[in-house]
Formats: sequence, C-alpha cells, structure tokens
Amino acid sequence: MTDIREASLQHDSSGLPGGVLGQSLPFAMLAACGVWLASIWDQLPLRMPVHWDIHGRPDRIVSRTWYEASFPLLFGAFLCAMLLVLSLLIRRQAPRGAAKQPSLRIVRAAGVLIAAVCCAAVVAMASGGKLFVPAMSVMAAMFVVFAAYAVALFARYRGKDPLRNPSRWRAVFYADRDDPALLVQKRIGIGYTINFGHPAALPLMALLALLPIAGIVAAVLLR
Amino acid sequence: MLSGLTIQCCLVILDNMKVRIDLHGADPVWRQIADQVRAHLVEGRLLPGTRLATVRELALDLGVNHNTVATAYNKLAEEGFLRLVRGVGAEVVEREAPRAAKGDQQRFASRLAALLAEARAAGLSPSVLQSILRNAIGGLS
Repeated sequence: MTDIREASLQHDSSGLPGGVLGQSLPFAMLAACGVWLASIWDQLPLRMPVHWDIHGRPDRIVSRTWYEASFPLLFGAFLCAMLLVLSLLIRRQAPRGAAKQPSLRIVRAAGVLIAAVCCAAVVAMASGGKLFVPAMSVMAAMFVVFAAYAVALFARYRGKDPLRNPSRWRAVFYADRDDPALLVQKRIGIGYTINFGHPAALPLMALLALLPIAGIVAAVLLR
Repeated sequence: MLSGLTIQCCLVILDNMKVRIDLHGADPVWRQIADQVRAHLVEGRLLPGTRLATVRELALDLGVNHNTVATAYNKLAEEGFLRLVRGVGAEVVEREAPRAAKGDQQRFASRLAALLAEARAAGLSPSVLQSILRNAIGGLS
C-alpha cells in the first residue's frame, strides 16, 4: 500500500490579498459612513425607517438613536471582522494549493460587499426612506458583480488540486488526527472544510455556534 | 531588471522543485524529505540564499506532523546545508565540502552495494541500474 504526497519547496511569501490596505477597506468604508452619519446627525429625521416590506414600504420605524442609526455599521463591522478571522485561518491553517488565493480573494470581496450593503442601508435609513430604491439598486448591482467575480475566479482553478488523503473522508466530512491542517479543501464544491481530527476543530465549532448567540446578547444589551 | 529576472527564474525553478513522500514507504518520512532536499542541494538546484518553505507550510501541504519536517530540516542544518531562523524559516547557505572521514568510502560502498542488491532483487536489470547511476552521477557534476 502506498500513500504518495507531494509539496513544493517554494516558500509562500504572499500575504493576504491587497495587504493591510486591501484588508482594511471594508472597515474604512464602514468608518467613513459612520463619520458621514455623525456629521449629518442633526439633519436626520427624528423617526427613521429601519425595515421595508417586499413592496418597498417601511414596516418598522424607530426613534432616532445612535444605536438604531449605527446598527447596520456595527453589524457590518462584526461580519467583516469574522471574515478577516476566516482569511487568517485559511492563510495559516490551510495547505497551499490552487484554491487558496481565489478563496482569500473571495472572502475579501465578500467583506467589501457586506460593507457596501451596510452603508447603503444606512443611507436609506438616514434619508427617511427617500433613497431606499437607489440604495437597493446599488446593493443588487454589487451582488451581481460579486457573483460574476466569484464564478470567474473559481472557474480558473476548478479541479486543479487533488483530493487530500482520500482514505480519511466519510461522505463530506474529513477527519485525520495526524494531519496538522485545520482547514482542508472540500471534497465536493468550492472552499474549505474543517479537519474534524484536528485538536482545534471542536473549539472552533463551539465558537462558531456561540457567535450568533453572543451577537444577539450584545444587541439586546446595547439597545 | 537582471536581478528581477534572476529572482523570477529562481522562483520558477523552485516552483517545480517538489518533495514527494510515501507515507507507507520503507524509510521514515523525515528521512525521505531530508534525502530529497539534500539531493536538490548537492546537485546545485537549490542555491545559497534561497528560502525554503517553512516547517509549517511543508507540514500542512504534506499532511504530516510539524516535528517530522523539523527533524528533516534540523538534520540538513546539522550537515551545514541550511540555516534555520525561528520565525523566518530555512535558508540555503554556502557550504564547504567537508573532507571525507576515515571509513566513509567503505561505509558508502557497503550501502550502495546493499541498495544495488535490493534493486536487482526487485527485478531491475544491470543495464537499467547503470543508466540510473550514470544519470545520478551526471547530476552531481
């Protein structure tokens, strides 16, 4: 029985796509939106729409408070921070391969998309709903651009990396205690999955399960 | 411009330079790694100043324990081929060819004889073995 594996001796000096500037872009967008919001605070309507129905009519209107106005930005910053952690995990804990850079670029693009969507939501709220349709149009356009970017990136690498350690897969789950990689490429589809044999796999799963609960608790406490 | 081309050229060469291991092979994995890197080094494919993949990178790619790769790199560092810097990685260094110690020739001759016998037992003909040896020696010059 043989188990042949191959790896390049080349040192990978590439960091996260775009470097520090590229990675901080979503946070800069959210911060800029926050500064803009603060600068027009006195001109904001005293009652602001924060949710719209399927026909574009506001169905939830709240009083102007800093929490309600900046909630999309805080939520966006939280999601972007999660994506940054995911990027760092892929960078440090996943084996090198053709899928690594496309995956990191997609995660960065997702951060920019989330920041743009949150900024658009703030603009719609701050305008009292007047700019809801233009904001939604920008969001829709950005989704289309993001989807096209993702398809173009992954179409290029598809099938280039061989399946890792075939004997250690059970359906779509991978577990190998001897494998130091926390993240490995999925068996089916695009992206990464957790190596359930890794000592950090269970703590990571627990953290992922706890995060939404922590988010809800934080939202209630801040309200 | 020239240095840029040189760097690019080195990267292309390094990109094609791989380590191939058999997890169930007769030799321990660390030795397989050390032997292959050493072969690249003595054949001049890895030049002084070249930075190799870090222990973490190689271990993640091969799916083996970090200690396995670290043992291989340490062995090569002991032999004077690599300089290991914590947090930076492994760098190829200029190495003066050591003078063969007394008995080295006999020891290597015995190992080679055992390897040739193993190859003959596996069914490789003398002409094939001669060709392999010729190619291997050609790579050293």
